[in-house]
Amino acid sequence: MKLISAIIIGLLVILTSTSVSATPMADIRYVETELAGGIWQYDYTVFNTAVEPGFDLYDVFLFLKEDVALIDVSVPNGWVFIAFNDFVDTYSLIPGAPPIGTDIAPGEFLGGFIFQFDEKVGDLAFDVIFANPLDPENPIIESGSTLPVPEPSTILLLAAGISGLGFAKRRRLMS
Amino acid sequence: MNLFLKELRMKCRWVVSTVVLCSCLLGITPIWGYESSGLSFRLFADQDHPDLKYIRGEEAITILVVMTNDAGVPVATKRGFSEIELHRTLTVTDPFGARHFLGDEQETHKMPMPYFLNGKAWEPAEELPKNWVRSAKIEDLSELVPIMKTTPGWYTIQGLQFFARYASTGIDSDYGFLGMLTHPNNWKGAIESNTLQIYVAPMSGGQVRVQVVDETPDPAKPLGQVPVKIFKSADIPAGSTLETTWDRIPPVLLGTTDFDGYATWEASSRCLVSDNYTVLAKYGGEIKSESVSRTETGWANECTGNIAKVMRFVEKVVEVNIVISGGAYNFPQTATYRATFSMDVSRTKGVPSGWLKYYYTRTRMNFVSTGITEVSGTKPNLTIKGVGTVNNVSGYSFEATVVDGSPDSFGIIIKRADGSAYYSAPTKANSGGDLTITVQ
Repeated sequence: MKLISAIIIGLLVILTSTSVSATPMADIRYVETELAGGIWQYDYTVFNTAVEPGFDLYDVFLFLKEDVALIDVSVPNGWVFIAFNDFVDTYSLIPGAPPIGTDIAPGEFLGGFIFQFDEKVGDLAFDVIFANPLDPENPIIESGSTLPVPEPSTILLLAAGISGLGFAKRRRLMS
Repeated sequence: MNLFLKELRMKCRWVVSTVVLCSCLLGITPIWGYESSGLSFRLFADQDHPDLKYIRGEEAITILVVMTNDAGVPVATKRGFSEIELHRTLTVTDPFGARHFLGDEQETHKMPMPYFLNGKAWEPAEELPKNWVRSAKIEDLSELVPIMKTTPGWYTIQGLQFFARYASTGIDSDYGFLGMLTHPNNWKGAIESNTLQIYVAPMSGGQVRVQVVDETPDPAKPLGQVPVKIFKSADIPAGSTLETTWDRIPPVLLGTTDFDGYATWEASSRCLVSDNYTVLAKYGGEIKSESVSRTETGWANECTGNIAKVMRFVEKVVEVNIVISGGAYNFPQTATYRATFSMDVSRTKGVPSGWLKYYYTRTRMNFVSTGITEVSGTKPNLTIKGVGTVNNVSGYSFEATVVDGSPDSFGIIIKRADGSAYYSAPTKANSGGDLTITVQ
């Protein structure tokens, strides 16, 4: 029985690692802040969760809600953007990972994508584009949705809960 | 009183009858000019003009009118022949058949003082001896008949005897002697006739052919229904503006252009004698001017010349201010890779300005305009041209097509400095965003 379980886990790891290298993924987290005047600011951090080198992330395309007005956009150094009411396309100007380029290398992240809207927008759909070292003429496009960064209170509560669970289990074992 | 006058009249009749009777007896019987057929009129013209051809308005038409007593006996007149009277013997028939009579009764001439008896003149004003000759020289007949200055053609000049009238001496002082004493024999090289036919020839000149065109398109487009006027430059006061000239100076020719842009003149004679002229044409509230010089080639004798002038107008296009703004994206090559673009381009008073950005995700081509050189077309299809950089390298030009529709469309061609295509994205419907064309 143990042998069968080990084989299944091994296969899952192999499959998972293969899919990571073939289809790099990104994670975009944001911190939501309400400013004066009903303006909502979103500070995005883009994580390149690819594993294999060369899959540098160079383009982030956010789909905006048409009834929400984009008031201001700020992007990190080396990045620019083209935006209108229903989209923001922000992209790296210099190909390659730092220090040569301004792309986001696999396993790295980049903050400084700050957008302001006239109302709360929450999670947004996105497309990201990775350089494709295996087929440079066909970069890889992946889609996803932005997610909020868990608040410290949430983390503390979670930690407290886990600690509480551990403490309760220990007391049960001791008794 | 009446009895006295009646008696006096009887006495006068007796005196006159006695004088006449005595004269007859003495063999110097005069005849009365009124009844005489012996007075003849002859006209003389300068023989130096072949076929009596005069150039219109340039040469003086000199005529000598001569009255001669050919009766063989003296002719007694109660009224002499003044220069005006001699002029009155003439009639001029113009090329259209209209007759013109000469002379002006307002002019007065001194009369010889007759013999008065009881306040009444009874003596003849003048007795024309046998072979009496009197003449009047008309220096320029066209001064008396102005049509000869302007209208070429055949003119007939006749001397009509019935204009020799009696003088009513002392009663009508408007008539009397004031004859010229130039004998025709002193007028060398003259043609003599009672009726002269002369030809007034057109001057050196020609027809001025004026065409009005709009030079905006290539080739130029003729402009019809455009009023055109030709003025004698001498008629235009110094300092006159084109508007003033157009409104206030009488033109020598007035016309309107046909569908080929050529002016058709309203005047019966379209000939212009060689001179300095100013041609004006008015189109779209603007007046343009062209000069026709006396010295330029094209004039010819007898107005057979041709001079062509072209009046060029630039069609005034109502200036349209255009603003093209917005951002959008589409998929220019495949359904996979997106191109995003945004712009804020305008054309104000014909001057293009603004910026355009274009980014193609697949090749990471980042185009940023550095100058807009042209915005053309009409809404909803506009073309934007300009120059810019590709990935921060300069030397590229672009031509973008924007269609403000449903959905909007966009296409762009980016060329290298040598004109070869570097990148081409056909005009395709946008998948998102919005491009707006505003025309003011």
